[in-house]
Amino acid sequence: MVFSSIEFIYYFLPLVLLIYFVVPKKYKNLCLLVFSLLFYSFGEPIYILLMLFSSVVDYVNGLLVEKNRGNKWSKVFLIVSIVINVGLLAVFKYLGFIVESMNDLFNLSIQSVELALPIGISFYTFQTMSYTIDVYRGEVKAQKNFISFACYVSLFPQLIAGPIVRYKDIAKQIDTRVESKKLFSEGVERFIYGLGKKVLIANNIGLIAEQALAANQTVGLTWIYAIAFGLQIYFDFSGYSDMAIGLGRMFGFEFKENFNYPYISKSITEFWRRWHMSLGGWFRDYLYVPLGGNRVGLGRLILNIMIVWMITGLWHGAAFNFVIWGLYFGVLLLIEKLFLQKYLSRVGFLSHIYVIVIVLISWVIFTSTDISMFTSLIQGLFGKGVSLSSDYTLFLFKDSLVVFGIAIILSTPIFRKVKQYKWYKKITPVVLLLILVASTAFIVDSSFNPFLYFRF
Amino acid sequence: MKNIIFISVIVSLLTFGVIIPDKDMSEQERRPLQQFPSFSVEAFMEGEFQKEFQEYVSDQFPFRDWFRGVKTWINHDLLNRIDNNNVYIKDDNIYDKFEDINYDMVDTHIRNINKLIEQFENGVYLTLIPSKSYGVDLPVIDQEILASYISNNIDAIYFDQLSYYDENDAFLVTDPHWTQTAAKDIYKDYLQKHLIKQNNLSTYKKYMLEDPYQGTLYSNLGSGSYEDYLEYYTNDVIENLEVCITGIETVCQTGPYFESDNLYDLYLNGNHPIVEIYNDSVEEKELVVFRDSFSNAIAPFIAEDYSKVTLIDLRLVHHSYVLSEVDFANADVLFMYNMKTMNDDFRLTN
Repeated sequence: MVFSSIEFIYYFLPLVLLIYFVVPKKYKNLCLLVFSLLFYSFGEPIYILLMLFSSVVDYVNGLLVEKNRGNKWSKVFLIVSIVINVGLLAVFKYLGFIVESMNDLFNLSIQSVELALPIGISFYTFQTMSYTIDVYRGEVKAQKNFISFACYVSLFPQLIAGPIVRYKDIAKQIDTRVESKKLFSEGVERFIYGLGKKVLIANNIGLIAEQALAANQTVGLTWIYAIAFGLQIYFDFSGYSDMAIGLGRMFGFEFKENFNYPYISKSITEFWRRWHMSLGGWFRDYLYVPLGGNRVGLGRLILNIMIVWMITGLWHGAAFNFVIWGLYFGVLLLIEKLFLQKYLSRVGFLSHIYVIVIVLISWVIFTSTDISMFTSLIQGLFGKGVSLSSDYTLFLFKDSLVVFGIAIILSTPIFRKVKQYKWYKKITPVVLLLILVASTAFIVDSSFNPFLYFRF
Repeated sequence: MKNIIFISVIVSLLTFGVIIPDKDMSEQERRPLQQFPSFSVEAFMEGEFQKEFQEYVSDQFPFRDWFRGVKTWINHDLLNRIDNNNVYIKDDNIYDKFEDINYDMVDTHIRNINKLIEQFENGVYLTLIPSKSYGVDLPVIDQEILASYISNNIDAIYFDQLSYYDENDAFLVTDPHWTQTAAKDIYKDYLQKHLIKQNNLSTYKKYMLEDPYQGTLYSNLGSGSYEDYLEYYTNDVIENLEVCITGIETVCQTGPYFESDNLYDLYLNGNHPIVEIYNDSVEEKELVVFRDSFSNAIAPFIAEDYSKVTLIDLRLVHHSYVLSEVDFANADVLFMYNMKTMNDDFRLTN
């Protein structure tokens, strides 16, 4: 189930809110767990078992790590937890990719089993791993109550698209959280803004990206595509994070922020501090720092950065373009770290253009399913062998101008400032109602499925 | 305040969803709507129940059409988009998209038509009806290029009717089809002269259906005050035409206009494999028309000039059956197709 759906907003959510706020405190986590499993069952019901397995593994390992603190078994159980989690990912997410790559590299013909990707596996395995690691590091106490732990793993607000919520950040809230009208109201506001970002902006601009890609290629259309996709992925993902954070608040949880206006960055280093912050933070704390972080020689630093970014790329999907996408950022971050950063801070607006162009190219790598799509898009962006414009280019440009305008303005902090004004605070409930109705209208419309062949 | 608004909206829509009786059919979509799925542990574990439940709540959502209207309003009026749900809205008219020439499809139809033509001994003619977006400033194909391509490759005498579409009121607003006025004028001003080599003038009485009609383009859009009133022309000859529709069995009636739930079936009762129209006021002049749905509105005027007009829709009947059952000995043959149907519909010929 996704948040931006009729069944979630108008069936699941009222029901879970009603029951959650009616049941006594000691059953609230159980209530969230049951509803989270129901939420998950709208994807691949059978994979509920996989998620529960992952929860049991980390619950048990967490306890064992804590019990054996100070002796070698503690490390053994930590390794068991990591191996099982990474193993789950390897089997369910990367097996096909690994086998295919082996076949290509060594000219083999091993048959691969095509498994459906369990929804949210990349998120919950990372969350449970961070739990065991934090218990091992002594940063948090192991959770004794399995219901509470399973509730953390499967918590539906952040289950399928993040943010990656670390156990230590919400450990206290799992056991003793206080729901309040104020927090609930903040949650409602955040959820509706997120819904609007996803449904009204991301989906609309995604349609424009699709149209630009489907038409006969021109330089103009390739730029429209790249910009539209860049905005779509931002509003889609950050909208989803906003909804998650908002839903969390309704139930008394405070999740950390995941996006902070990444497109206003002046360097790629800054971009990654503002984009999918929970993932960047995870890799920093659980991979980059353990590898030695910055406090190593140049050769090792290069290696560390490349390892982290190759894995960051792979985390986004089991395909070579994601590896290249990750390494592309790795190289750029390294260049910035070594010398470019200091120049970027001096060139003012040019640094913004630098970031936008670099990031747009990265999205081209991200969306290219094969090398020919990549070359054609890059040639399109830089005008090699492709005409500059066409009637359709101008039509699509004019037709999508308002949508682009709104999306670009909302990808900057302007609206955050508007929200501070008193007059805006007064009209906020009305704005939220309008966004909710408009989003519902777009969701309802997307289910419209006319059967048009009846007469032709 | 925010909490009250949010809770009231989600709870009231949930309540309405539960209280309002479920509908069986969507008229706009012309399809049955999903009903509440039956629950079983097996269906739940396989995800079937959930899938059907999702379809159910989307299909049966309260005030669904109103919400769709809101969507179109936002998209067109606020976001200023011409492109809405796969149709274009421009100057208070709705247009279907026609973005690419599908040469593979068109070539297949050309081949099939040429093979059929080899079987005929009398005059064989071709005329092509443009799609609604012809001559409109929209990102659509140049239909003159497509018309030349088709006409140059089909072994028939081509009647080029494109120059008769200089005004854009030839088509219904909510539907891709032409109005009967346009069909009549194109026949009387142009096609008739070429088909029967003379210009028979007729006078008609014009009527209009009382109920507004909202066609398939409107269905895509789902909102707005767009509607058409279907017109029909008649006179003594047309009123006395004998129309025989061959489906599983043959049914005949006098006159080419029909009453039906689907208002557009006014014209010849919609599409059927073989329709024969007899006119006893004309002697021994026959025409066979290979056609799509556009010919339903023009057929009464053609039938005024022939003792028998046979309309054949190859999407609903195989050509071998037609060649064995229809008498072509004394008939001229006209291929009359809409160019978008020819470009898009793989079933058009066989």
